[in-house]
Amino acid sequence: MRKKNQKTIGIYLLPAMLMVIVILYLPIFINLYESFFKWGAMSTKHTFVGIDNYVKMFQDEIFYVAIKNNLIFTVMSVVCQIGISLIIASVLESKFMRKSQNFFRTIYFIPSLLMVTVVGITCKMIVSPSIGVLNPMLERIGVDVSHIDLLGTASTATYTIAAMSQWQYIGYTVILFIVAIQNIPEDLYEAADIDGASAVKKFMYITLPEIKDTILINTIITVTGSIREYDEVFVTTNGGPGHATETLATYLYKVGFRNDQMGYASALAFFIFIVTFIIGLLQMKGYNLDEQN
Amino acid sequence: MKKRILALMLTAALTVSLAAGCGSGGDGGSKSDGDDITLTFLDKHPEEEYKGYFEDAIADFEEANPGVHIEYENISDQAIKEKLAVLASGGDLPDIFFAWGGECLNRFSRAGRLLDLTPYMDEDSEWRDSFLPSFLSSSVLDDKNYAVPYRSSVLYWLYNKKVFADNKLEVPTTWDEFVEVCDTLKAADMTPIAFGNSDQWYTMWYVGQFNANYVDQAVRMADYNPASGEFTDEGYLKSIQTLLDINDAGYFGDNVNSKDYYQVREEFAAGKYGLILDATSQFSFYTDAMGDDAYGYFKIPHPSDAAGDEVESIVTGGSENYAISAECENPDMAVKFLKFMTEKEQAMKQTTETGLPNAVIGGITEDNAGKMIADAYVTAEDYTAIAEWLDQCVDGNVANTYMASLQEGLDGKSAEDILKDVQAAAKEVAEANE
Repeated sequence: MRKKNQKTIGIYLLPAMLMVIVILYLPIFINLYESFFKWGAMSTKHTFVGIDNYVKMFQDEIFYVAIKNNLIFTVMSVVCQIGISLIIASVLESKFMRKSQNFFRTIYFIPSLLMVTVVGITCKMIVSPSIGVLNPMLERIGVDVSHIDLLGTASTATYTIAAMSQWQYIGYTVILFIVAIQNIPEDLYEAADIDGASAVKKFMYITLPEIKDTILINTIITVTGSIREYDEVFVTTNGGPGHATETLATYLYKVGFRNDQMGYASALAFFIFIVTFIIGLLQMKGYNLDEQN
Repeated sequence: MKKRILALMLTAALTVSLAAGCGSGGDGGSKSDGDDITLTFLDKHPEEEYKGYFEDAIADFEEANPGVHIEYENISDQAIKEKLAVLASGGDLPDIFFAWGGECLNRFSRAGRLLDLTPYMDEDSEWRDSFLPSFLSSSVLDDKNYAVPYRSSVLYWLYNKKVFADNKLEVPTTWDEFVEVCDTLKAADMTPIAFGNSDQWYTMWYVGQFNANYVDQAVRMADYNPASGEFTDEGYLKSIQTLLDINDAGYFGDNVNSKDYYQVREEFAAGKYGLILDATSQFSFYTDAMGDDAYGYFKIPHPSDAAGDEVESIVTGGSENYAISAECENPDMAVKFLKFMTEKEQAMKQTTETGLPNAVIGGITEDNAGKMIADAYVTAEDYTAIAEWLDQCVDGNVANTYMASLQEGLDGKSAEDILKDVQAAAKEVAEANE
């Protein structure tokens, strides 16, 4: 009977497994295989080049610019979408804010419902030195704006896009944190109140440890999202000026579909996969640790 | 037992649907269902002022050819470049599709992805002879025709007549006069030239024209060929430097990397600038926005020190074409459709209804194109050579490197460093195409 059951389970699992193998694992291996060749979508030649594409990747200046930009996105996202949004969530959950919590929660959350294209184009128009509203406002308060072109200058463009991204998604993590904080038993806080703990102490010794799972998951979502960063950059600067705002994903896309260097693009794609895979492993490890605790 | 049979059936159903899902990607091309023929057509005219004409033309063709259906997909300019690359890599090209001339088309031709139209043109030489030769030539590779032009364009300087009159300016005919005009406008606190490069491609119009002025034809052709590109001629450096000098002199104004072409041409039409570099295919925009009397055009003066062998006789321009996939199952019908779209009557209708200049001999008249475009085409007869759009006539890697580095150039990078980037990209492309 047990054997029969196992067979049935196997048969039920087969379609899903096939689907995962064909749609997920197979492309990864095909991608790895293709990264050892020099080829283009439009050319008939398919030359084996060994690890040349990987060597080229590590010698490519733009690759490092992209990594640097991904790191900027990662750091800013973790600081804002984990750090700041955690503070906002706990402030909103505090007793004196409970009444107006709904209002603020909605205000913070609405941007994350907007399409990236809408946010990107709006941001582009706001910071545009010729038609935007930011520069005239800065000028009003006495700032010399003649050289302020946030998206058009290499040194400021990445930070501007990252800031826009934070504005959009901070509310989303705030909501997740609020839900987690609401699940903390109220008696813990009451006990702390009796002991005379301050708000900061309650946050440090009750809130933080109780929601560490949510923090972990949000961090992983935020970090992997930053590594795959594509759409915000594509809509606002498309990697420019020059390659100043290029991320791994935008660069991979350009290399593959504009420069038609599919082999090199495959190598870049495999690199992104490895990085996100390692973070994924850490995620699983994080879960295990929690279970052991 | 019943449960087991049910489970097996469910599994089989899921597996079959999975297999069906995997297989459905392969039928992007034409289909023949009994006597009915379906052709897929990918185009790049989604703008309100254009798309109606193309949809009507397709409907007319379908009406004249019962049983023929054309599945029309119409996407933006930038999107189509990438979509074609994606479709090409998936082996799933549409039956009929839009393509620029030069290398943009040659890479498809070289890879054997396009239907050779030469036999059809040999059979119907009238069709071949109906096109303006300089525009038909941009889709020829190894003496074979791979596409037909339906739209043509030539680059000119446009000027705002009121701005010129207010500043007592004459239309410049030499480079020095051109610089003088810019200086006068600048002194009058006006940005002389409408220019925005956040999309990166706009610099290519300038540099493509300057390359044609500075570099000899044979050298240029060798460098634009992906198999032999080196870009070592000093003309390329001078060409980039000329663009950077214009920028450094302040003729483009500030913050050029955060404005785009569409923004600045609106601003030009509103009288914010004196000059804009634009193509005849866009003249209809200015006519609509300003009226024919409010703007004028003049031939692009070449830099004083330019001494390429075609310096006096060449202008940047080019054709936009329709090609047929080599995998098209109904090539005869697809060719018939192209003939329909490019026959003189239809081509003239295209210009009348959309303002898009056609590429047919005698197809541009004052009646269908308006006085300004008709005049511009008469003026263009002074030119004997057309320099294809630079971003279309070189390999994608070289073009993208050119564009990205030039954008950095407008932000301070030197002409030497920009050219070094281009040379490195050209070298890489040449090695790949050996």
